[in-house]
Amino acid sequence: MHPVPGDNASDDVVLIDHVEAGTQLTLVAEEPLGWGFNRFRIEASEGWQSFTPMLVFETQTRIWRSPIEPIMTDDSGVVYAVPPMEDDGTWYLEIDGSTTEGPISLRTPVAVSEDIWVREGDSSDLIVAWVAPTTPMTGNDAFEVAIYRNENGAFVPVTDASLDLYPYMDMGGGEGHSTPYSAPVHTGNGHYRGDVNFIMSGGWDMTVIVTKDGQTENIVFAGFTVKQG
Amino acid sequence: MVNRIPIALLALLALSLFWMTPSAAAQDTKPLRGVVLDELSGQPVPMATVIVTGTQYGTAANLEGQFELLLRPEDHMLRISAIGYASLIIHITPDMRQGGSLTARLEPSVISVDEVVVAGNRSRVDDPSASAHNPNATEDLLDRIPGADFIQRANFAWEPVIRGMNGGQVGVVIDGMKVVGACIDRMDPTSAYVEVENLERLELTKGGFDLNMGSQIGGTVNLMTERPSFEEDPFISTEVGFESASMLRRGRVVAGMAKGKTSVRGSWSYRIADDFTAGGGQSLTNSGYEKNNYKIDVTRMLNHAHQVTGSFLADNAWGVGYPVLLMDATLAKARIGSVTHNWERHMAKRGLKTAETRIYHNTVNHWMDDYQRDVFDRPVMRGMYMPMYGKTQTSGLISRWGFRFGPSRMNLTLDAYQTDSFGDMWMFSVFENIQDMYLLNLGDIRVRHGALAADWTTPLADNLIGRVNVRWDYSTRDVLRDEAVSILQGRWGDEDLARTYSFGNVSGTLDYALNAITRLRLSLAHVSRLPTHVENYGHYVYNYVDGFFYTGNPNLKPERSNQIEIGLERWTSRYGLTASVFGNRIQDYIVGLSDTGLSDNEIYRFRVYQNASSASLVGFEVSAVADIARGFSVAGTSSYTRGQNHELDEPMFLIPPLSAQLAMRYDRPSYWAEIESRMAMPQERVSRQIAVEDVSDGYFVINVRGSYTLQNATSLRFGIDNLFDTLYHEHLSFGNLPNEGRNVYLSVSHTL
Repeated sequence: MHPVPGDNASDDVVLIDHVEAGTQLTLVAEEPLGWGFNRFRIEASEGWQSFTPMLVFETQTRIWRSPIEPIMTDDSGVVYAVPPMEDDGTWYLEIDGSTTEGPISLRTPVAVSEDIWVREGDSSDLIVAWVAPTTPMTGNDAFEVAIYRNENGAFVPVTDASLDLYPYMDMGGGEGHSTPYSAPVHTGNGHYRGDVNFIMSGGWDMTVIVTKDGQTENIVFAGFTVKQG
Repeated sequence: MVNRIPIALLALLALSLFWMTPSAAAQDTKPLRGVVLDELSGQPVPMATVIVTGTQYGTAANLEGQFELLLRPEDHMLRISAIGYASLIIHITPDMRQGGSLTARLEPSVISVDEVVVAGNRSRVDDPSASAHNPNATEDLLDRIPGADFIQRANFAWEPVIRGMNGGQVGVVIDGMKVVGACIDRMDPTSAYVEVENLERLELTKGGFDLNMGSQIGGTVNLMTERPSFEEDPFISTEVGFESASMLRRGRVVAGMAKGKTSVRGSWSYRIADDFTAGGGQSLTNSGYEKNNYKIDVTRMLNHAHQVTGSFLADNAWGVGYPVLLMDATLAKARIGSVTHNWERHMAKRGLKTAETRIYHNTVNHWMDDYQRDVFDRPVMRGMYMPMYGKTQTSGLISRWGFRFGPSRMNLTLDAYQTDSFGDMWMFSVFENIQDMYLLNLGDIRVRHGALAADWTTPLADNLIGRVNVRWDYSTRDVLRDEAVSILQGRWGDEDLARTYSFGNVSGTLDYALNAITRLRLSLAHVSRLPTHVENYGHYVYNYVDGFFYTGNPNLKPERSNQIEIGLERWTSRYGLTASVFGNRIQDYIVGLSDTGLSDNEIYRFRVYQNASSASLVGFEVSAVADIARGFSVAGTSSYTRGQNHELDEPMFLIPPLSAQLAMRYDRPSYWAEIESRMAMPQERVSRQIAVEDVSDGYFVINVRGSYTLQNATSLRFGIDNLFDTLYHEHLSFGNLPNEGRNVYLSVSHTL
């Protein structure tokens, strides 16, 4: 199977369904969690005053706190998280919040699978996460990545890089071709947005060419599927 | 294998038939007496030619337009023609056979129209440009018309080229109906869906001077199908034929009858060809094909003025091999239906005289794949199978109204249609790590088109006729499939892909009679042609000629053309001569220009259609026929076109070289024989930027052929094309596809 972001969009995964003192908080992932940006849907009953979800990865020696972006893309409340990429540890979903009854903390282990949607640079500490399109389709797609620097387990948005792209379809036999695109530009909080017009469905590679402080790093998202639009 | 039947045997048969005593030319003793008059002026038409269709048997009118002709039992139709007039086809009635009389009125034809008349399964051979070939397919009817050439992609479905113009620059219609080929790579020109037995005649106009059939800058081929006749007795005509170069076998049946106010005509044909053999014995794999075609027409006469005809044509071709391309056509099928109402006010001198209204619908489907090919052994698209599919669906109405105002006439035409087009391609890699790929080439493109044309012809002086033809076109087009909309929006940054074109065309001709047998013609035209739906909205359409992927451009402007033609026609009782020189300046010339950035290798190369600044074409055509002795005649044609792309300062792409044909013929009432030479000069003026076009060598080939009629009802046609088995190819052949080598053919037809 070839990876398709958002391919399991209809397979909701209930991560937390907490009922206490007449309040209820439900946190649902729109697909099984994986490396990269994950979309959550949070439903809170009356009585909840605030809540902050957090993906935490704990190894024997350190704790990684995945960046949580309070990007509320619609009324249902979708948040994104970029898990760090290590294997030997345990993932937890934590929620710190408060209700009318007082502060509350929730913590539950979750499964996060390895996936292609976040990549580290080979020669730098840059981390590039694929944000959009969640389901690449033929035709014009808004293409968005988020770039961070790994500073001792903290993810710091990179806001001053310049980006170019090289989308490529390997057609086998050593042959292939690209597709029209526009270079992404920074839109805030480490996010960069451009356009990619996938001319045909099939398997594609996307090379994000990041230049920062005079150094260029090629980050490759390889072998993702573009579906018929 | 070059010749799979003994050539010597066929030659012996041909020679023996030559020296057989011809049957009696005619049994009746009372000749048909006729007079040929000018439809507009009522004056006699001198030196008109009266020929029994399908033969060389006929006569010429005198200076008073009078003639006599002894008709034979096997004669069914007459063709009456004269320079400066449209030919007239007349069905021979029993009264005419019994010494009756005939008044034929010819309409002045101010523009030059090349015409090939088909009678049943025979083609007419009475002027220098009429084909003498045994007509296998529709394109055979055009093979001697100067200025008409073909793009050859296979041994099948050649695409007409007129004066170096092709594709969207040339219109091919069936009875004026729009039929759009479904293959995005133009493997199925409209002419491929019509067979010889479907046709009454084929008319070809060169340049943009006739606007009644469409706004074209290259010319129009109108395939005029045969309709049921109320004059003929019930008949069944059959023909079987064989050709050795491709082991082609074919059969045709045509039948018709009339009862009361209803007349029916039907036809069926089938042909199958194996791989063909080129000159020198070179066999081309993947060059065979198989095809059938059937057509039925029913005409109901409502009263003396009105009649309605329902027509249905079905055509299927399968297993069509394209030896120089990557894939083959597995199936190409067309279904063409129409209902036509005809009205004629007989004896009318003024006002509305004729009206014809046709509503029609047709669908064309085309499948190609490369499942029978070694996909590893090719320079591009290696290691993948690429099935392609295309479909078009067209509905339309065409209405023509003919008026007479004393010596003047006017024709009005309303032409409206809607075409929906779809095309796609799958790519299935043989490499496990490569996913299936899908390319949407045409995402439900809808074209709606309406046009009004007026054609006015009037005498300006005793020896001068003027004609003005104007046409106004209005066309809308849009992309309906969401996927294609998104792709094209991304490409062009335009939310609204719908486009509307509206423009006018005008042409004018002065026809000057220098004397009774010589006419001069000056034609001018300012015309445009619309971008095709592929040029507007095609998405990465692979062109097998130049190896580029082409992207359509919604922002294309119509291609505009200013044209001039000077013609000369001279016809005496001993010889006929037609000649024309032309010039064509094209603005906003539509070509594919480089679309960079998608690939950094030489395998995948991309282009986008653009309006280039200008191009120009100049050239000439000449045809002549002369009677040199009793029964002996010589006919010859020659043509030349020179095209220059001014945007890129290089020769235009796909321009045929100087070519000529010369034939000597011996013709008797029941048999004829002909030796023909065909030659072309090398083409060294080739495009290097638009396409990596090869220089072509010249060639010279000899063909011999003949026909013999047995007992008035059975006819043999036989011949040997490319007698010396020369290996050659036409300049317009894709991939330098060679022509057939020595080809011995024989056909037998019989009419009951």
